[in-house]
Amino acid sequence: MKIATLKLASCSGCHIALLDTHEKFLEIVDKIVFSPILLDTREIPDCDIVLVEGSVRTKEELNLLKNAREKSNTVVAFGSCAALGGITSLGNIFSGKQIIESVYSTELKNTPKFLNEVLPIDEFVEVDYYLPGCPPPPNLIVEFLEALLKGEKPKKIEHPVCAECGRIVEYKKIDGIKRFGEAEKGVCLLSQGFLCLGSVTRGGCNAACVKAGLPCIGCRGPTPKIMRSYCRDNLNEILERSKRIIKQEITVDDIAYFYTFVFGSDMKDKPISMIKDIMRSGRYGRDNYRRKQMR
Amino acid sequence: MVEIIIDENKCVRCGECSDVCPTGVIVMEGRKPVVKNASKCIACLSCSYVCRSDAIIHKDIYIEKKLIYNPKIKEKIKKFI
Repeated sequence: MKIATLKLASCSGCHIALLDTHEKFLEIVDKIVFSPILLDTREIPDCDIVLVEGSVRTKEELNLLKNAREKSNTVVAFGSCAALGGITSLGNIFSGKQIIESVYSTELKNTPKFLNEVLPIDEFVEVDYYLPGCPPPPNLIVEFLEALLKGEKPKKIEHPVCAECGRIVEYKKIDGIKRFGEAEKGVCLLSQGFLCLGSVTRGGCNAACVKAGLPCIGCRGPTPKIMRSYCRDNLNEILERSKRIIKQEITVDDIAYFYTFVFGSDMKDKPISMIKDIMRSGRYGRDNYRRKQMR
Repeated sequence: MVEIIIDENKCVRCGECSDVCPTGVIVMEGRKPVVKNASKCIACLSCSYVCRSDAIIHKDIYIEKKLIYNPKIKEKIKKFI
């Protein structure tokens, strides 16, 4: 078995998560044949498994991805950017031209061309497995790679974060919605006024953030329940549930918070989702205008 | 008759299943949902739809048939881990 890893538009955090598997990493280290972060190799040889990290932003990355698909049997979307668009796909709020203009003062020459949108890799090539997470939890990586190396089907996780969390819902009145702050122990974060995305997010992380008192930000993407139903998405699901629990009306300013990790995924094709509206307001609307005035 | 199983370890005790049940099959006993007279269940699957932690399972009834709207996404869901 030969394993290659590929890095596209991303922060290389998923590579670090791969190293974070400790002594289990030693079992696969001699199988790695290509890796931009870990090895000094230039071209992808023929291999069995490619772990692709990151989404597709430029034409160069698109070519790298297509090349990797041709040379390997199994392509794995490794991390949320590759599987769902992730953090990098928040770049869709502005057009490529706007981003370059606001970052660089001089004109760019001989750089790879930007694509119109940042998209997950399954828009361009066929993907065999998705392993979302920002980064994917190391215990899941180990289980997944062990199953692949044995030639078995990896175990699927379909339950939401709430099933692992262990906090219990209480119906009570609160002062208002909070983003950060100290959380009470053992009580559901939604009933304390935090906008926790745990109930719409795929589990498998052992609810690490929620157990430590931080609201879930939805890094493992939507659960199968949310993905397959026509009229549910992160925003309306969380707001309705939160309303029912704390029994008061809620207003939220930045709705992009609910879509942080699914901005580029096919969630945006749902008629109910607000992703396209957010994109429109950034590219052509008032926010764009304000940005220009500030410069 | 439908057999309803509630996973106690997953349950977060929000009580939404008993609120939404049209025939009163699921009842809250204190802070714990309990299945009473399951013969009344009409298999509307509302409780399973509303459950935030996927704790309710109706044996031999599949929600998938009811909810999938896009064959492309159906194929995609199978590959997620």
